[in-house]
Amino acid sequence: MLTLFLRRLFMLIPLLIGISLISFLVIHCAPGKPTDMQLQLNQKVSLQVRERLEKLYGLDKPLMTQYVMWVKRLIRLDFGNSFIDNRPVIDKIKERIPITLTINILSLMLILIIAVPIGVLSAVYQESLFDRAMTVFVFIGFAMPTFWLALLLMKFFSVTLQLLPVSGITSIDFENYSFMGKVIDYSRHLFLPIIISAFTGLAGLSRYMRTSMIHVLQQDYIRTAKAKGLTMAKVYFYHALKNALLPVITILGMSIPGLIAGSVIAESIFAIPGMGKLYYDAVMSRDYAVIMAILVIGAFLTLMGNLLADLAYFIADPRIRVGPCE
Amino acid sequence: MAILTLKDITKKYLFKNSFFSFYSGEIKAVDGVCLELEEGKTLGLVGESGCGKSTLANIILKLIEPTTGEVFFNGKEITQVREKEFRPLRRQIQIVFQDPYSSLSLRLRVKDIIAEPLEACLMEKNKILERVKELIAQVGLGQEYLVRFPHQLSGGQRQRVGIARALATSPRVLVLDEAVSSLDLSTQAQIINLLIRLQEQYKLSYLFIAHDLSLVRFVSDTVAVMYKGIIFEKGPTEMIYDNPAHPYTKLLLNSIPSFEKSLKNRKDRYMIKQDFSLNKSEKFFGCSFYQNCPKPMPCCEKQMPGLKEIGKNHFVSCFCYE
Repeated sequence: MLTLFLRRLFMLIPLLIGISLISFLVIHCAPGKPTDMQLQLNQKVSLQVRERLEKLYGLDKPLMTQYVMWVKRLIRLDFGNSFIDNRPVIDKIKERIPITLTINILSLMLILIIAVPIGVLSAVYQESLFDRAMTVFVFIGFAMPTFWLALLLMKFFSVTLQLLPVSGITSIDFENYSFMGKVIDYSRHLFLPIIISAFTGLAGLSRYMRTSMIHVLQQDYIRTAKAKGLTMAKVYFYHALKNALLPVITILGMSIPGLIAGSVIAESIFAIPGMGKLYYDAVMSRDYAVIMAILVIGAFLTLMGNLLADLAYFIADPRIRVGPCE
Repeated sequence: MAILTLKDITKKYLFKNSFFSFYSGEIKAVDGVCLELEEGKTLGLVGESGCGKSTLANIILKLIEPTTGEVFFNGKEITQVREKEFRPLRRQIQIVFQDPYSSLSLRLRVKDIIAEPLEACLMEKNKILERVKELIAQVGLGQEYLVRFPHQLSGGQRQRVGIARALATSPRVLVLDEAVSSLDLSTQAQIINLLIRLQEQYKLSYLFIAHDLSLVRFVSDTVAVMYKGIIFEKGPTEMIYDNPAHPYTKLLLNSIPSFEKSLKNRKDRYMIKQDFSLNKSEKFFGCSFYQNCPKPMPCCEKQMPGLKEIGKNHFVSCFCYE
């Protein structure tokens, strides 16, 4: 069990090297350079200045040398400095990550709280009015363009009802609020982004839950549980749900990298200074250091998420579990 | 007085030939079955695979609903009763399922599997473990099996867990759906002896579904022979075995291998020549055994014979006795 885990952990290293190499090459293949922003605005810049700037960033060296340099720094967990404002990349990410993480964790929790019951009830009352209504509901969410829904809700809640602020994450006089006031201010600003990202993400999990539950409900041991004289609630939520939740664990594992990757569209619309915005700006200005840092962190989290999902599987399923029982 | 009475139970299943076809037919898995199970007695139910024995068992347990017909438990009709009101009765009617592999929850330990029906009928916590230990010993498994998971047990061991689970609440009626078929002979004897002892002790009633005819003869007080959802013959065990009336019963009993004469040399050995197209067609109203009957008569093709009493409590559904 432990050796298996360590072996899987060890296997991550070549994977990470592969992923980073490919993304490094692809990013550098894109037209334009990070120095363009500083140079193109000023047409009179001489060739020497241009060369000096490129040398400063190490852009004059061959691509492979640049990659090796980047990896050497990465091993010391140094993501380098941003090409744009010369601040350490890690600081830039640090100040963006809390807000994105908050939105994504809250919306994932909301999705779980809503999608699991929807899936279970849809399976138990299969083909009922409830099931059909929920199918339509979650697919509307799935198919709805985020920006359009966001704009509609903004107009309704902020303009028509004047209940919520339009955008941003804090009010102008935020500094003067008490602690509770700050919490309330945050929640008022984050309400719409969280609701929207939960609504659009509902379909996948609830559908998965429904299918998985329907499959489990057809099993013989569910019939046994009924024959035992257990209450229906116990049959459904103890015997069936326990087994039906297994595939959902995989989905949760896969959503871990999504937690730090912000949504570019939603963050742009609500003017939220999150990871999505940072990444988008970095790509547009060819800020290699920032791009590579986000990509590598994302890749690492994806791999860790898969590993964790497998690990959770081990723990949840007694048949996979190895070793003596008690 | 009969503790369990089945009255005219019919279960139809609709089927479609293909996704796009508008024609859909129906199959009668169980067709007009009437049976009585006396308190403290054993009713043997025999018949070939797919004749509706297990469907009947599930109907008695109220796990599937019959299309028509009534089930009386202790004089009370139960098919129309709502699940919530029926639940207290569940501890009195228990079942041992046929498939020991899929019918045990794979995430529960043996002790939890056996304890659950006890928890469901609100037994006190400290008494439950005692009862579970007693049960596991009764079915001949050691205490060390209590902490195992079903996947760590063999088929026979699982089946014994299933039997222990069914016995847990001391039911009055126990439906044994091929309960001992997967056990080796020594365990089979042990379980059968346990069942007989419990029957004598607590006046349990068994519905014993099996295909082992010698075993059925050994345990049953009355026997019912089923074919394609219909009861062909029922009566006291001795009468059925010594004096079978229906041609199908005769064929079945003749198929029991014996040392005296080998199957090959028997002239009247049972040959199945089932034609499913005839079975599904709705136009055929005759006897469902018509095609396989050694002595068909012209009237057999026109309608299904009803059950007719030919001896004391001995019923047969065949035109030979009309």
